[in-house]
Amino acid sequence: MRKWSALLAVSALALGSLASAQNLVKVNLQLKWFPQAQFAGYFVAKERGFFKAQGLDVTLLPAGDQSPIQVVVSGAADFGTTWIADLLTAREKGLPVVEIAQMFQKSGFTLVALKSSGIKDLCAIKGKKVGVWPSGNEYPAVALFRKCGLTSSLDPKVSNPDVTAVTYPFDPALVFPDKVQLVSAMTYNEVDQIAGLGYDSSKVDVFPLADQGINLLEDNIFTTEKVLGDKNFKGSGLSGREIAARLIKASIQGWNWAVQNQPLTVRQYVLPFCGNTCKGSGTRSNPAQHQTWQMAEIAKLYNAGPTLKGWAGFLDPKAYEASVKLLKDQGILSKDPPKAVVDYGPWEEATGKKAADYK
Amino acid sequence: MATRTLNPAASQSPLLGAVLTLLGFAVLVYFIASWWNHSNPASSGQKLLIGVGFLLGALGVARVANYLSRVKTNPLVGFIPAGLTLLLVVSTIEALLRAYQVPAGLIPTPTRVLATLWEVREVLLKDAAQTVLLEALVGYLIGCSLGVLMALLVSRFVFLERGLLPYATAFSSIPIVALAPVLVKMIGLDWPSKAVIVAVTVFFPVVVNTFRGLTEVSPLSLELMRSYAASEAQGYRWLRLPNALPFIFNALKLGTTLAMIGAIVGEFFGADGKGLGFRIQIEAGRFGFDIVWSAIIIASIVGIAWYNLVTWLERQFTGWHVSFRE
Repeated sequence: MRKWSALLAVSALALGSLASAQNLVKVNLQLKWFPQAQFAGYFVAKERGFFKAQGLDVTLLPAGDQSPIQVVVSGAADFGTTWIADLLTAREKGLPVVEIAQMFQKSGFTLVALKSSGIKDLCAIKGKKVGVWPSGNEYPAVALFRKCGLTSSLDPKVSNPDVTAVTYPFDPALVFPDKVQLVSAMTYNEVDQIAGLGYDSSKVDVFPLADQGINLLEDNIFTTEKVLGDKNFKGSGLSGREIAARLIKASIQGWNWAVQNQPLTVRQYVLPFCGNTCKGSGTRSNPAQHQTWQMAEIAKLYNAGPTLKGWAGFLDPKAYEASVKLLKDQGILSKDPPKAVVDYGPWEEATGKKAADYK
Repeated sequence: MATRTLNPAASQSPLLGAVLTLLGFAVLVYFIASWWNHSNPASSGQKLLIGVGFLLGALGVARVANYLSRVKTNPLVGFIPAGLTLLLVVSTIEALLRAYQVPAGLIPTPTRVLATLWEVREVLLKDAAQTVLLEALVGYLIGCSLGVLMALLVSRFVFLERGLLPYATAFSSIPIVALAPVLVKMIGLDWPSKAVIVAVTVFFPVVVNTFRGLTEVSPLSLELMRSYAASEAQGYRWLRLPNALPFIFNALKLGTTLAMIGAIVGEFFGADGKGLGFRIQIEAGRFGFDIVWSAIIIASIVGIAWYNLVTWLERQFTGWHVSFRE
């Protein structure tokens, strides 16, 4: 009798796992950049089975040359992570993208200058050269220039710009400090790379754009109206909204775990997946060291605003309004984005909270 | 248009063609005008209307082209069919984009592109000056002159031909896109790195072509030179170089296209705040495809003009060649 029941249990288990393997819905999530601790929460959700528990088989796509928006709008990925300025400008150009969750609650965008350059005020940079990344990552810098009343070579309508924006293949060592006086740097990545090149905090000033009132929201989760309107997502029997809610639920779970278990996350879920892109630069090129540091900085961006009130992944309407107002004031957006550009539904379903209750 | 119908040389009246063309354009323009301020997709009946307009126009243009090919006229009139075709295709695209309400962030309408082109012309011209004059032209001149020089040496010294030429042939097939990031990283973001990319890409085709021209000389001509007791230098001046000119010009024409590609692609891997490639990359990343297309139009116009300039030079220098005899 016991033998039989054991066999039954085993076969039931086998059947169950078979069934769940078959029922997993394939989902592609387009990351904003190469694999690194910036996406630790998603790696944890995937590797610790949080996605699987939600019935999802998620593939994390590293960034290519295209912006995540192009990939998601073309349908090559179902969901993506990007920044708010990129998302809202794309929406204004008619692309049907919708933000469904806000993972980072603070901006990590900074400009770095040598102390010896004498730059003390970010608005007093007329005639300077500034290193920026293309593909929608230049908007925070553009917003700063406009706010300071400076024109730049990123504006196709200005033939004698005050500031020259220099594009380069992402590695700050290519341009800083010889070719540009200011260079874009994320708190969690390039700031450490620049330090590794021999320019640590005793030699450079790091200007967070948030301090200049340019606090544009960064890594979010977005998708398209098409995915959200899908009644039967990839033949799974689940609606696109249901899939979105499950993705958000597992992602928040992953992020909470990653932020609480940082050393383990870096060792087990980041380093094995980022290969060559884990490395820092110069004296700080050691991957484990660089990613540990990145994880700590990322945790600061995650653990802020709504997350501290237990509302992880929530897009604070006030922060959103502030981003929109800034982009409008600086002429980067020409009008208010439509209401449909943010959809709280999937997040509410994932967390059981109501957006209207947020204080 | 009416004057053409009076031409007695026409065996078939072009009147029908002209009427069809006008009718086709009228349908398309009517739709575009009526849909100018709409933000909803057109009904399938209206989409059908666009198809009808295009078909009428196409039939009409075909008749006009047929007629013009039989009537000898000046070359300007000869451009009419090509011009009409372009106009027809562009208006149909405009109508379709409006009918389907394709977002400008994916494909902008041709009228929007033209309006943008005018609006940002000053900046685009500066970009073009950077890309064409500094990067493409300087690289082209360096690459081509070094190429000819190299071919002269290789054709003169057999050990160079055996030792170097095979590599020239192999290198000429290196895809530029693979080389660009390396060179930009090596030399820097300013225009010289792009000029080097251009020089490297045009260099090898020039070497290979010029070498063929210098060596594929008729043995009879060589013997004739020898019977005149011509020196080696004279042999080159009067026989080999003239023989090589058509080959060289082929490479030079090919080089114009390669130079534009090299300069623009080179800028994708880093640029100093200006240039057509810089503009295309920045604006594609922020979905400003109206500006991207404007930059493409400018690049094409420059490319065509440059190619034609080289063709004109070719006529001046090799007017004696068989291919130009009428």
